[in-house]
Amino acid sequence: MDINVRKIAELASLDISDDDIPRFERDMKDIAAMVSELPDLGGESFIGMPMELRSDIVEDSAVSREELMKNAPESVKGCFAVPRTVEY
Amino acid sequence: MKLYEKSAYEIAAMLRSRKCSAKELLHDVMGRARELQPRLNAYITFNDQAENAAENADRLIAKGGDIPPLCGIPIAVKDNISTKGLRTTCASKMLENYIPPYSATAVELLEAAGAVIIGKTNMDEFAMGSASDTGAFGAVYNPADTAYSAGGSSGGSAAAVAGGGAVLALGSDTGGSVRQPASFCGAVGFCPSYGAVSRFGLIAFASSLDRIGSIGRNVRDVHMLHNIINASDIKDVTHIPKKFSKTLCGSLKGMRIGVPKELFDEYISDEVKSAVMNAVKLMERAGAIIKEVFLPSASAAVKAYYIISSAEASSNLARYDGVRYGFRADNCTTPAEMFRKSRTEGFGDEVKRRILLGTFVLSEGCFDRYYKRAAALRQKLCGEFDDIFTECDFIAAPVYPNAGILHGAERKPAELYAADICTVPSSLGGLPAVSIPCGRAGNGLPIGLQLIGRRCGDEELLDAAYGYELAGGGCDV
Repeated sequence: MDINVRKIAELASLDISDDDIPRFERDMKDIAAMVSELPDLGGESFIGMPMELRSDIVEDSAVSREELMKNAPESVKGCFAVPRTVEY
Repeated sequence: MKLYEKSAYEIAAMLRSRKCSAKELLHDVMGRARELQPRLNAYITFNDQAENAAENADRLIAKGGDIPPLCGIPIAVKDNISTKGLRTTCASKMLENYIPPYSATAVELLEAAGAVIIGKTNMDEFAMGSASDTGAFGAVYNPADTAYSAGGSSGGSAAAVAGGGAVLALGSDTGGSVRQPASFCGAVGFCPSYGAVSRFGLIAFASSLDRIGSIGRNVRDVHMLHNIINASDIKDVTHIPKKFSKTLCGSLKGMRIGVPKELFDEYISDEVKSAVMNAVKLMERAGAIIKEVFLPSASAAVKAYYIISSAEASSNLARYDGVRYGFRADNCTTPAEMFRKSRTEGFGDEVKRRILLGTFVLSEGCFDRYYKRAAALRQKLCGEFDDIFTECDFIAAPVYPNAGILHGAERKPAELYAADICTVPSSLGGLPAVSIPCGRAGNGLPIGLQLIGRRCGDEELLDAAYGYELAGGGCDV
């Protein structure tokens, strides 16, 4: 089976260098061969009822905004900062 | 006998009768952990607040009255379980400097029970691996023989407990990651029913499979730890109600133990088969009834496991983008470039392989062939387990096909994945399973017996494991 590692990596937002592509391709082919012989049991019954989730409501948190922001690689005025997304 | 060699229940009695203090105990265990560190590499971070916790425990004990059950006992925590204010790396460059702003529910319960968190243990990166050698902080070595791996992914927790560098430890088990390293190191490793221990604060790998498990040097110690972390938690939507603990009695009389022939096939080494069958015979002599049972989907379960776990991992790990926390690559000019470069530089090869596999099986044209079939197989497997448990109380099986994994040996990922055949079926079924030492191989490494129980039958399973211990089971039978 052909597996296009470059395309999958793009979907997963990863770069695989040209040097590493053959190695990843070989591993992925082996793994895909290992997992590919699953029987087709048919039916859709495995898709169960959706799990009941708790309501998504705003609550007071025991963790302050400042504490949450401490792990941010870059923040500006209490907001996460990223490279510029729009030209102006 | 040194303090660090004693069991948790012996230490608990000593602390209460003032034969030692929590501070003395911490110094002894921490000293042992630091002494072993250059040889085993079991820890990533030691907790510099541990002494304060031990002093608090001593104050509580001095006051008398109700002393919390784990008061003063040094416990190691796997480094994918969040500890407020204490670095939690998942053994990844991606989270190398991550300091959680909250603790996992399991950690909060430990602290409320008076435990002293000694440090964070080494592991495979994001718990993906079988030999604790895929992480960014180096491999973990087996205390029984450092030429061998401590197993994975909770290798640091198992090595720390087996070597005396912790009295108890928390690990995580997605496809065998508590049971397999415990068996390699000669410890007891318990993976509870899915939902019995809250996953809140456990950094996600595969959410439908992840569980927090307990590692100790005997079944009673593991039972003590599990009873603290087994609690309902509204923060985990998959939690199940707490099962109140019973005193272990260890009787195997009349217990029906199923032996699935598919988990003893030619793939399992002769010495592992022989050690596990000797353990089964020992249980039979102690009054258990042994039956041959069938688990026809066992070998297909490994395939289903790698499809489902990788699919969930590729989704869970999409959150690491260098924006809110974790590693961010330098010199990026656009957000898309920043996401890609941060993930490429922050993740190691094994994590990338799993993300690629997960992305592949979920991609257009592959979903039906891989993911749907895997999910259907999982359901079929659960039915096979249900059938077995109509005529048996427990299942006995090996933990891993071989005794130990040599460091540095060339291994293809697909071969390493296939070796998880004995542990992943109960993972897919959400069933509780425990690994208990049952002898040694010719290379001197411990071998583990695996007992699998009914869903939510955690107490009964630990009682059967205790029965095996009482019957004389262990590393040096």
